[in-house]
Amino acid sequence: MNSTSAELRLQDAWRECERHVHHLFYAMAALKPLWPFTADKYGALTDEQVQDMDQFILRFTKLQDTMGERFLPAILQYLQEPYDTRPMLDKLNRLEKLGFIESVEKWQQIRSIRNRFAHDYPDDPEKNAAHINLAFETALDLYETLAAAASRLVADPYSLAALGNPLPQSTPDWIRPGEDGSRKGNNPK
Amino acid sequence: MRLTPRQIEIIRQAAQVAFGPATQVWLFGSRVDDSKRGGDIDLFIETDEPDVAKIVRAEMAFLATIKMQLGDQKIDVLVNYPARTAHPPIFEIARQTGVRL
Repeated sequence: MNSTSAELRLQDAWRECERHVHHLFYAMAALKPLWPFTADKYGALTDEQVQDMDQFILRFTKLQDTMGERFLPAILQYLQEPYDTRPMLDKLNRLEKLGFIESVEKWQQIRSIRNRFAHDYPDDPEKNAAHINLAFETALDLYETLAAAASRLVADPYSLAALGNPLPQSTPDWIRPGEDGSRKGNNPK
Repeated sequence: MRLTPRQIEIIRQAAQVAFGPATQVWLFGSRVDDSKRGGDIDLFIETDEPDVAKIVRAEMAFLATIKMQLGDQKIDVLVNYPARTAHPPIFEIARQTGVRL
């Protein structure tokens, strides 16, 4: 693949991710009054809230898929890394080494969170609520991974001219209360 | 039982790291049956962890660890925990027909 088409592919994948993030955060903002969820709250959603929740689940799933299947592989192609035909796990290991994902393990965990949405577990309401809470936190992780990768790609040494215009994102900072924006300071002590 | 000793060890280890040392794991479903081939890996896990938020995290960490070590297999996990309100009949079936790992 020549560098122009690799660049276009990367920009295209990034734009799709931005769109999913936008709708994902919109749904989260609508559900904010209910967060964190409990089995009772999760079981008593109104029809409208169910729509918001469906939107959240759909966009979370699509964002994870698009990042994993399009955006992250496009980074390797753009950097001319010879990983096109390699298994996903190899690609992820390379991306971890290059610093585009925090760790392969963390990425696989996010994948597991996404996969659990494929099934309903009606007889485990407590865990369903806890799973949604975890997915809310993870949505922010996904966005941070996307945003960090984007700002790295347009800076030295990669010097991609531009990915495109980012969409306005209403970042759900309330997910991590008492935090000054730093990623690790998660323990209020 | 159609798991290799190495697969069993990976699953048992990963369960104890993720859910705690007192965790018990059963394999049930088609993988217990030597006459069948392939199929999902159905696991039933019992943990004494009281906090459901920690259990969900543990389950995701557990699945991630296994898939990184065993490859991308189809793994289905049922978890019983103290705070769980519903105990579907599949739990009893898993315990009775399953094999402790």
